[in-house]
Amino acid sequence: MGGGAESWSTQQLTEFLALVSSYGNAASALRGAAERAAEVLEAEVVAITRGGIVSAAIGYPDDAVPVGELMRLAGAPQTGRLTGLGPCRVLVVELEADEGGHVLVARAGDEEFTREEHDLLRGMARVLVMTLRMFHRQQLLERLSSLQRMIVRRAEPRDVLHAVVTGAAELIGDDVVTLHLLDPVDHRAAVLMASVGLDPVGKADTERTPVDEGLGGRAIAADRLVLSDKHAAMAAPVREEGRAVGSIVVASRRPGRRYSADDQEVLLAFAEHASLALTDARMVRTALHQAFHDPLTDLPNRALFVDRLELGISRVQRSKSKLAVLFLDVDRFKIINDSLGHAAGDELLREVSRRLVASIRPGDTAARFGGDEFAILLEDVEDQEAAEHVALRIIGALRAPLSIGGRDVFISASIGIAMDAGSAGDTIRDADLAMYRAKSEGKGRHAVFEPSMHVAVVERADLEADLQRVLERSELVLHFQPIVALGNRGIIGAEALVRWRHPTRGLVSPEAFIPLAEETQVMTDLGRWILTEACREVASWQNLRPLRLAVNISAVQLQAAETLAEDVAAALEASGLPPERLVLEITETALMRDVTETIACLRSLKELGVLLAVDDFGTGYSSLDRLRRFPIDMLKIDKAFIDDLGAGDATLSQAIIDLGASFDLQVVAEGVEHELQRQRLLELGCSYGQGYHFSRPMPAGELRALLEASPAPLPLPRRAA
Amino acid sequence: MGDQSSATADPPAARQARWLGVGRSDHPDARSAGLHAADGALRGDDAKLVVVFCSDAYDLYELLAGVRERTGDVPLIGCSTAGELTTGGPGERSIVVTVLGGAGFTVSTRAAVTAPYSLREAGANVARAVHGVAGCEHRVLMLLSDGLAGDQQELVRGAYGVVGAQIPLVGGCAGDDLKLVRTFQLHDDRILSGAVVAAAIGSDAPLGIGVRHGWRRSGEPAVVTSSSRDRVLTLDHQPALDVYLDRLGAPPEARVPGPAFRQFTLMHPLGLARRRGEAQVRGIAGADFATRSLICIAPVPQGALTWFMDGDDASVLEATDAACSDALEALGDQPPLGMIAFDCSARRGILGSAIQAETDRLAQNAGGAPVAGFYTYGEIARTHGLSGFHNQTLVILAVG
Repeated sequence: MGGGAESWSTQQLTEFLALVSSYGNAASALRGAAERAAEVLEAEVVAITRGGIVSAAIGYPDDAVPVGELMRLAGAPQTGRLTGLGPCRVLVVELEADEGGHVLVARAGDEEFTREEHDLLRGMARVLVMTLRMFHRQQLLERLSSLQRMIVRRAEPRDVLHAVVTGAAELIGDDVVTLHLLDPVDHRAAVLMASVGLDPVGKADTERTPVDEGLGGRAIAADRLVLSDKHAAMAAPVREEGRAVGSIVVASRRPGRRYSADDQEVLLAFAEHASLALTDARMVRTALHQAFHDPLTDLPNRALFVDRLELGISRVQRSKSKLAVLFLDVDRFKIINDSLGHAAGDELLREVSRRLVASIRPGDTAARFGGDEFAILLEDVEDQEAAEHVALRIIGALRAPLSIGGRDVFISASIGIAMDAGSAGDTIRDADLAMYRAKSEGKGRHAVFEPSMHVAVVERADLEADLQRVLERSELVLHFQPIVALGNRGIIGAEALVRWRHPTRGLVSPEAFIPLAEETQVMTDLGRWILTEACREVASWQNLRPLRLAVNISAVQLQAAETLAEDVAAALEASGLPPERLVLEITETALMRDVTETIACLRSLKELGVLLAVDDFGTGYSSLDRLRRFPIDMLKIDKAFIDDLGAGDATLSQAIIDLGASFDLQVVAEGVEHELQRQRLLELGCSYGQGYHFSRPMPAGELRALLEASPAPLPLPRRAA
Repeated sequence: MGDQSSATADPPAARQARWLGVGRSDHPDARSAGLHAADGALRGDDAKLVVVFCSDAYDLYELLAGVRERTGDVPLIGCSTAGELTTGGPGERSIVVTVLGGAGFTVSTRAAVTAPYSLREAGANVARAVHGVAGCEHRVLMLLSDGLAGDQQELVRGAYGVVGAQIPLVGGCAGDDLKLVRTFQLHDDRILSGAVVAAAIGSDAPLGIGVRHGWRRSGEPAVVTSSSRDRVLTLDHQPALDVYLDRLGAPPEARVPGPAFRQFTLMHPLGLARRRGEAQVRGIAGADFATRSLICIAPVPQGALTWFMDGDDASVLEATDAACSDALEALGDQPPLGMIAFDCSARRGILGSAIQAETDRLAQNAGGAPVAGFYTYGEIARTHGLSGFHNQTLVILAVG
């Protein structure tokens, strides 16, 4: 074959390796290897024998392999005749020295196999053995990973141990595998947990064995794999949390069976998996922790809190001590979460939980119920006052600025307090109700539960039912609060404010029913009614004076952008109010919910020609950058900042007015109640305002009368070009 | 995926009657061509197998209907070709029908489509036709396949896995008059594509196979050091195209893409070294001049030892004689009933106008017996070892 010969066989081996390792399992690799050998050696017959059987044969129909003949030839190769082939030359090489396998090649005719072919076939056999070991290893890994899955899925320990022994038996290919664990009470004996290959008698004999006898006991004592000196057997220790608590024993009935390093490795792998399954008890405890703790803050969760509360209540009933539950809700958490992002929200909750824990005694329990709701269980409190004292301490602790994502965030929390109400559920509910009362009375406060709060809940339910019918019963009325030029107090516009004239409750304020309407989806219909009515009313005054109408748009309306645009267009058309006279007021919080969506919505409104105002400006966390992206025309300063103005603090009002000026936005001050505030606002550069100082909201008729009586109007302010 | 037709022999008796007839027609009307060719081939009673080689220029349904009108439901296999041949010479746009008949023949046929199965599975499937000729003294499995459907050696491996070393494989890949678009295989009344059809032929008398290509080795062989299916990337660790051109001393005009290169490769295939007989030819379909690799007509296994081949009209014709004499040798002293030739369409390309000389040689070797054959897209012949797919080769089946 010339100079290429050496390279030829090397190349053939490389190709052979690539081929056999491309198969998915041992059986097809054997078949492919036989076929390849036949092609390369131009032989008609190739047979691979292993463990006393023909594993693959080429050159015969599948149902006509002369097994006996091939086995004989593999054991004692000779030149001769083969069934179906006639006179031929036969070449045999060993496959696995310790397994007695062979590769047999027969070629028709009388041409001898060359030395080179002989070497090549030997090389192929080596490659094949390597590949078969690889498959064996793969099979081992598959077995082990299925065991791991069982452990993770918390299969019964007995099933896992059974899978361990059957896996070891399959992979090591031996007759008997047993797994014993030390008797937890009497460590001198081991109890049979799982086995394969034992007959009933053998099973009875090994059900309980003294540890100081036998190979298994030796493996436990030595805490390592041990081989038997007398029999074909080996044993490996099984551990629980690192301590040997049992053993797996493998034994063979095959004469002359010796365990290779590979076999030992396999046994150790299975022993380790048995150990894993046992150590799982510890994992159960970990899982237990996870089941009862909030993953974000690692505080106890509601389930654990309730459990501890129940325990506490039963203790209280025995010892006559007192306990209290504090229900805490972070004020405006949703705004922070929406405007700063969820990661910041999470960070904030973690910081809140740290401050909470730092504010209570070690024996008390702080838990997170989910969202921004926390609960604190105070045991052995002297009285209600002591609980209130803790609440104040928590409120104080939360008041200090939090550094979230590199910026200072100011938060507050509302806390409801309830003393033991006889059951965990009732106590938590009471604290929850008290928290709502605290929130409704202004944020950053605490409230103690009173039975009357239950009445409030019932009332809310009634109100909700009535609200569903508010439109059909025509119970809504509009009031208008004038907006004035701060300089001359002339009325330049009015904000429409809805009131509910309830048949039994009287006039219900929007603060009481608008949030309810938003929750119950009545808001869309309600918003449409307000728009239509307000436009109709104000349009009818235009002959008296060209007034600007401000209408509040709820976050719920803003989310249904298309409907809102349609409603606005319809209201303008029906009333004939010029679009530039309509100002839609949207709260900063609502704007920040989904910036991209909101911008699209605002643009569609702007296309109608209306003006847009940001209501309650300064209460959210909107960045300047975001503000710049909104197509807005004016800012309304929240009443809280105007209140500060009266107290001498003009910092924030000044900032907002300057911001308006730099973005070319008109600024309207809300809640102006004193002359001093009016003057201060004028000094700061704010031109418009509304508030009790000028006029309270009034029915449409009253305002109309006022307009008819008042002097001639000033021209409407226009935005600078 | 396959189906089977059988024509069983009468109980074996010494040397029962056997006959082989060949008919040909180039009648422009498909049905008439089918009728005439079948008429020509039906030399006796008790027809056992009809083998059709035809141009796909015909309306194959009409053509087949014409043949079947004469042969009835006698098992039929066949295929479209890149030209047909008989002792009368080579031809195109014609049909050649061979009929084997007489009690001394036993025949079983099968067909299988390759997709969605593998070629190997298809090969194994049709090879089960040999179960229908079990017990016959002399057997052969004739395969007519779609050479455009993939690696035909896989087909051979699949068939070998079923028939084993005892039964030789013979046949060829269907053609489509060198359009290389779609070939057809015929089985009884069906026209298939992307399929393989097979006839297991059992006979009282020997069946001989000859396989020769006539290419001569040139210079030293090289080891295929890198290849991927039909693409040879390196030879002796050097870019394959350069090694190929250098070793064969290609003239400058054949070293760049163009007709000169194509003609050069046609005359210089690769020859995979075999221990027995001639090197196994791998025709070169083209080259990737950017990567300097060779693209062959069939897979070239990495690690193979390959020769660079050389040939001319004389060597091609010498091979014709040699293939015939190899095939006829198996028949002993007995003259053949006829011969079936699977002749590579590339050989026809090499011989050009001298192609008539080849059919003359075939006729001469047949000694008056009929010869039927077609120009193929690849030849199948497994007589020893396992490799049974050839290129640019002539395969002869001599029927004793």
